[in-house]
Amino acid sequence: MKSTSRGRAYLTKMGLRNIRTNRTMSIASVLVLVSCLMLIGMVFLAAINLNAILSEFNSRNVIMVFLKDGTSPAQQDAVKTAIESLPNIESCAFVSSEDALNRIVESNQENYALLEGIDSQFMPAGFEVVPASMDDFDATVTQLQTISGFVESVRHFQGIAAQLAALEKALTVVGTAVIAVLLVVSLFIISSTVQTTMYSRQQEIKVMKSVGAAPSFIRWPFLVEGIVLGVLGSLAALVVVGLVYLLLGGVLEPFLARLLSGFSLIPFWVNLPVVLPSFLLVGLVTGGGGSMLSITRYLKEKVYETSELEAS
Amino acid sequence: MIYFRDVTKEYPNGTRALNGVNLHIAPQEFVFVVGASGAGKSTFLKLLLHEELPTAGSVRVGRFELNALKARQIPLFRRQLGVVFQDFRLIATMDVYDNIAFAMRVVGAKEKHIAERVHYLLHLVGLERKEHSKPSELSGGEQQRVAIARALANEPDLIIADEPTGNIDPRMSQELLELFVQLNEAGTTIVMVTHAHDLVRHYGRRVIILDNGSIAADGGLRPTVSPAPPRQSMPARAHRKPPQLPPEEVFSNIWKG
Ligand SMILES: Nc1ncnc2c1ncn2[C@@H]1O[C@H](COP(=O)(O)OP(=O)(O)O)[C@@H](O)[C@H]1O
Ligand SMILES: [Mg+2]
Repeated sequence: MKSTSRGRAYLTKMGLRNIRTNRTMSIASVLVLVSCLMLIGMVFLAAINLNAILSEFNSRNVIMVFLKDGTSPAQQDAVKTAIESLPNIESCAFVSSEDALNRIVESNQENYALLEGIDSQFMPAGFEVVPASMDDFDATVTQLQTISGFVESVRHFQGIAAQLAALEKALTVVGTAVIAVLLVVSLFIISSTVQTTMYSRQQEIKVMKSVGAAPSFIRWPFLVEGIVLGVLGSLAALVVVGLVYLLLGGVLEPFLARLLSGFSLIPFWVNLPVVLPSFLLVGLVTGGGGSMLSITRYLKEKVYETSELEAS
Repeated sequence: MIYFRDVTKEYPNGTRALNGVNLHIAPQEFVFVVGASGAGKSTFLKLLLHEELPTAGSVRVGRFELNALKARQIPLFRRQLGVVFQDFRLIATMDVYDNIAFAMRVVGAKEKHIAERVHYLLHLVGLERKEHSKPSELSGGEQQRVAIARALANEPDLIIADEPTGNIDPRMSQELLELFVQLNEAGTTIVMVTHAHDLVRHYGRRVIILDNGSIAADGGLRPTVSPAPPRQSMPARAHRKPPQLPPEEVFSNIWKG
């Protein structure tokens, strides 16, 4: 209808102005949204990083195939070919005695004194084999053990690998559940916050109805208000989460790096393409949806109340 | 304009607020509705505004048969009415101008037309200088005048006023009534619920007396001769005349005081 589109600009302005007029409640709703999104964001980022840590662990769950002393380069190649011909092999890298020693020295710098006496000849040379899939880990180990000839021993940490895989699965499930619960909680809290603001403006809605405003006309400023608050909340939450991530990351990173050499947290911006739209979506749904839900309730209320007329 | 046919309204708790009411208010009439507390005046207004539906009978206002009004027609119906609510119903966050303009924006009027009309209305109710005040910065009487200006904004054919003089002093009540008379002479139908006996007597229009859910009396009243309604500060008694028409006798019985 032409007549209603003419009013839209004014109604939009009105919605924006309402945010300023109802400053306290606006700030309250944004804060609620920000805290919910902050929780969601932190859980999400923690889960993503834990996942990364776990897969890092997993990828380091190599099977070491040690060679007998004095194996010639030609013999090494034969073993390498034998390993690579097996199924479920992701990679197979030669590690010389010197490499092996260097690695140990690198990861135990503080205890260098202990390592002083160790010579590279104590470290057996071998192959670092990464299985393609953890599922067939046992079979791969058995197959490696059957390679005859120059293989001294096969070492692996299957127990840890299985535990890590289980932990990862559990974390994914728990993380998803926590996020889902937080989403529902934030929807509920925001809807009730908006309802509180709505309640204080019930009178305004009544007046609009009583002068013959169509429901869509009445909804518009509230919708604008809800959406703007939602978007403001998501953006604020994004900034807060980013800052917290940076600060917490700074504290945790050295710790993690020691636990898992070379590991660093996933930079915040890497997750932005997921986090930003998700935050905006949550903001829009809770802000816009929340105000729609509660306004529909108030639209049903009567214009004229008995108590108001009792005096007449 | 307004038809009530055998209208009975029984609330869910069993209270029968209106009982077989029949009435017709013709276009361009000026009607006072009076009655004791609990007589059914509010119920009458609620039925008129499509706030409640009759338990039996039918209500028709203008071209709208209220029993059969669809939800989406309700806004259209309400726009035809100018309602002055007892508690003004101003939007606290809007200034005087916007409160009046809002009623016109609802119907999609152009801002230029709105500006002209609002300024005219502000002049009419004598609030030109309060255009940018918020309702909270106005006196009760001023708020009432804003409510009246808003009721007039869309040039309604029917003005329904609930105790419009309840909060203003006698002099302003008289001015308001003069305004209603002018509007009425220009063709607007006016239905006014009131307790102001002296105003009713003074203006001598049709008076509908509700008593215990029924119409106890419905008749014309000849205006009192005095040029001004009685004021507290004036010895008004001298101007008063004894009851002239039958309804007046009924009034004195029903208005106990
Ligand atoms: N919503 C309601 N539910 C039940 N009873 C009501 C309701 N509204 C009014 N009544 C009753 O209906 C009767 C008429 O009330 P009302 O129309 O408000 O009278 P008035 O406005 O003349 O004082 C009263 O007895 C009142 O208690
Ligand atoms: Mg009443």
